[in-house]
Amino acid sequence: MTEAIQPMSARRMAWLLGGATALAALITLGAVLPAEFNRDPLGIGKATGIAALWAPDEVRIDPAAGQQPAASAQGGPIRTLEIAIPLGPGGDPAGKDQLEYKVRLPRGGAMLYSWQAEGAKVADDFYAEFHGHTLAEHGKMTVAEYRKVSETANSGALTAPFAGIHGWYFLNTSERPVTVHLKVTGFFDPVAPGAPGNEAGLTARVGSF
Amino acid sequence: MIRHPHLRLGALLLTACLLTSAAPLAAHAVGGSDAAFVAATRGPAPGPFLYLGAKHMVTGLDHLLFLLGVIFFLWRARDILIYVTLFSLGHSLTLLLGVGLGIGLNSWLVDAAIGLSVVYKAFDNLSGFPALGLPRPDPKLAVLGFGLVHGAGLATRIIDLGLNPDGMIANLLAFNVGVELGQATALALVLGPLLLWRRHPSFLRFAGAANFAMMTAGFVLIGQNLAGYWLTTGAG
Repeated sequence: MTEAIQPMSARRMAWLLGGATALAALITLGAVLPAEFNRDPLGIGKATGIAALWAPDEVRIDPAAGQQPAASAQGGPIRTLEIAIPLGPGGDPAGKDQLEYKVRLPRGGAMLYSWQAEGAKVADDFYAEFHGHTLAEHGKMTVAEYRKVSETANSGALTAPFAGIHGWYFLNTSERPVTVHLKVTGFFDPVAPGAPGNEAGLTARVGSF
Repeated sequence: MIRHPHLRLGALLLTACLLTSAAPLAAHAVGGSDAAFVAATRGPAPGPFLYLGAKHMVTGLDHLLFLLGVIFFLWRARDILIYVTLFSLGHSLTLLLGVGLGIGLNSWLVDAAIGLSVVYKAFDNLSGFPALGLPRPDPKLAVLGFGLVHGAGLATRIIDLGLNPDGMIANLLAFNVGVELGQATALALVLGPLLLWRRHPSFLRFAGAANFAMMTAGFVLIGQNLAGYWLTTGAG
């Protein structure tokens, strides 16, 4: 036989039903939507940091695949960009020893770059990942790794395999503060402070020919 | 009699766990490398499919919550056996028929319906029908019916994974047996603490709270899967 709770009044039961629904709605809208679906109707996801749990599915592509032509047409002005990025000593608990900085390129867009980590003395003092990705759309983003280096300086060229933001993750692994001097030229657009690719809110010196 | 403050704390913790654990668990798919395995498998592979079925059941909060709701007020072993058998009968039927006939439903919507089954059972445990002056549907029929819904969920998962026709029957049966084994394991794990808790007076005091928590968790499962249905393109 089945035992159960003594029936309560209809009024109390209605309150219980309403309460459970309201609580569930709060959890769903406040926590599940920000963490699982990148929506934050109540702003709770951002306020509590739960929204940071959401990440788009990454679709990795091999940048070496697909031959780029030796000569290509490019659009827009030739830009120049210079920026000094200060980084704290390696292992900083607040994460001031690392930073991402990217620029926007159309598909096939070309750029030349050079950076130097001032204050880093040996190759082991500094690490950089040159990579690009599309902006997250429909929960997916395309990612390509171009180069990972443990060097105090590096330079190179890129023809973007897809439209998106392309740039560097810099990590200071030395015990001293380091300043990265980055120079870029080509058919790119700088990313506004705070936008994806420039979350640190840096302002670069940008010019054009 | 000795008072057990820890038990009361335990009951509150259980309630809190029920509430919070429902949220982060996404519509739980057979995911990652398991999915790759299923898609790549041709021919019978009873061992892995047995394991996958058991794993799906043991790690599936929605199935576990419903089972907990079903046995919450069952005091006799015979009743537990009858109800659990009815549940197994229901979900085996739709699992085998669904995959056999290739009837796949939208996994978000099926999972939302499974969330509804959790709400229903908690509401029933709270004596919600007599409280609202409604006739109580036969609980055995309800368990059988919701068993069909849970089985449709299982079938939809397997179909979404693209089970290869080669060796399908053997693999499907192995998966089904695994589901029952996983369910028995889960029951064994849940039943022990439940039996202990029942012998303590705090059980009756917190039975209402526990079922309220379960009802809330069920509503969260519904909300989460409806959100998935409306906000994403692919199947979950």
